[in-house]
Amino acid sequence: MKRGVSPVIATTLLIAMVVVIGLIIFLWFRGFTQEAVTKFGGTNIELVCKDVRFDSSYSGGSLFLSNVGNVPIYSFKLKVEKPGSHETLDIENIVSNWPATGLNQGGVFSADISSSASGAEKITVIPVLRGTSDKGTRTHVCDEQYGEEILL
Amino acid sequence: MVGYILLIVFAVTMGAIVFTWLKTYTISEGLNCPDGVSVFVKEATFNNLTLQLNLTTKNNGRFDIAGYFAYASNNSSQELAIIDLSAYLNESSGGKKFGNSVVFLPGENSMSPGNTRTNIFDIPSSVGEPYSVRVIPTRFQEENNRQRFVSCSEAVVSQKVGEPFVCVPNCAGRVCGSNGCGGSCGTCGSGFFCDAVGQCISTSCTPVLNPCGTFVCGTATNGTCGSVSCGTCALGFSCNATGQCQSTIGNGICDPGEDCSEPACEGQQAQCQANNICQGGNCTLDTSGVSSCPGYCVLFGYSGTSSACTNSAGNCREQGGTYIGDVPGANAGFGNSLCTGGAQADTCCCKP
Repeated sequence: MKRGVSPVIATTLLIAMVVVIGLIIFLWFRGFTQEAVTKFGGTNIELVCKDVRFDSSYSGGSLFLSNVGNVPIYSFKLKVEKPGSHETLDIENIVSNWPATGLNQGGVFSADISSSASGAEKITVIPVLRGTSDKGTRTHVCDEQYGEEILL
Repeated sequence: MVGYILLIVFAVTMGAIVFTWLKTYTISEGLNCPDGVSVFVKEATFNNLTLQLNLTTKNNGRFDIAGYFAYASNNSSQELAIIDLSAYLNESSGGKKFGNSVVFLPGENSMSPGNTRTNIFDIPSSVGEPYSVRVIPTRFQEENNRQRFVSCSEAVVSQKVGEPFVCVPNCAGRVCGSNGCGGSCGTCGSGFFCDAVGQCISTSCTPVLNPCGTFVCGTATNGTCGSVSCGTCALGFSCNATGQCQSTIGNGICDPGEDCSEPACEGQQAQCQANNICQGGNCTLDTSGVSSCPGYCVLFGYSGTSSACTNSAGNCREQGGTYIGDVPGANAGFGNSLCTGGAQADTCCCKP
């Protein structure tokens, strides 16, 4: 008489393996997807970026920013392009007077960034938004296409 | 059996998680003003003596508006005006400060199409003299059963600040009557009346039948009854010594109401529309403060944010933009000269 595991144990093992492997695949796959950060009651923050409206200009070493739209802008990243190199800077790290809450509707800001922009050919001003996720408040850097280029 | 149940539960759970995640990507319309919202800066003048900025706006759109965001620059080289004027609003002139904007009546879109409003801003001396103003209309709108305050960024307008019209009272040679500014130069006693040139004349004087004769303007002697007014001239005309109205064009002064045909109006706004000044006898776009392609596009009603330099007119059109050479009234040579980013960015592309 041949001996082996009973059908009940075999089924249980099979189900357990499927569930465990499924969980492993799910957790692995989740690593490929970004955490959903939302704003305005559930809209993905990546979609909110297209509604951001702001004006910017640079003259005399000073950067001028104005939020003319209806989306609060938490911060900006400045992509400073120089001949042969470029660097991306957080605006709050290069100026001392950036408002803690960012630029709300109608908000304006100016600051001297001449030391950071010295020798630059172009500055791309990229908005950074603040939204919420399951893990709390998160910032999101909008895609560069939603930024504004300033040729110096 | 248990296996099937577990698999189904597993599939449903996965589906719910994916649904929750994808749900956030549902495209919803952002907070925007309707097309057709528009304001026009009818007058922006600064009085150096009182340090007051008078801003007269007109709703020339199709929708009611609530107010506006107003900013000023104090430097001709500063392309973007960012001095928040709401902080300096003189509320006794009308309007209320609402956040960092000015509204005419809180919670209401009270400025109807065609209406004009004037607000006064008391500018501190530390701010300096305003050079230009930038105005963005605002509206209250119902969104998801909530009243939201909306910035109409597509309807932004800019205007240079001019000198105010200051009425100077003139009582020279007059003892009675109007001082020309709504005041009086004095009154006459009993038995006297004030004639057209501000003199007190006895009521027992003897007038003549037709004192003006061929005069159509100015004043004429009326017997022993002083002077009478023979009429006034229309805007753009002045009264000469023979009592006839003659054009003021060519008199060396850019008089109120005159257009660019008056040489003295060269470089001034005169009767030109916003953003235009007199150049060579015609109203032309004032590009003196423009230093970038987006800044140039703004003069034609395009966005200062979306407009940019690109590598060709074709690429511009493919991106949904309007090549500067296709913009009516624009100077393609000038617009492209503002794009100095090499072959990859030598073409000015305006976008709405």
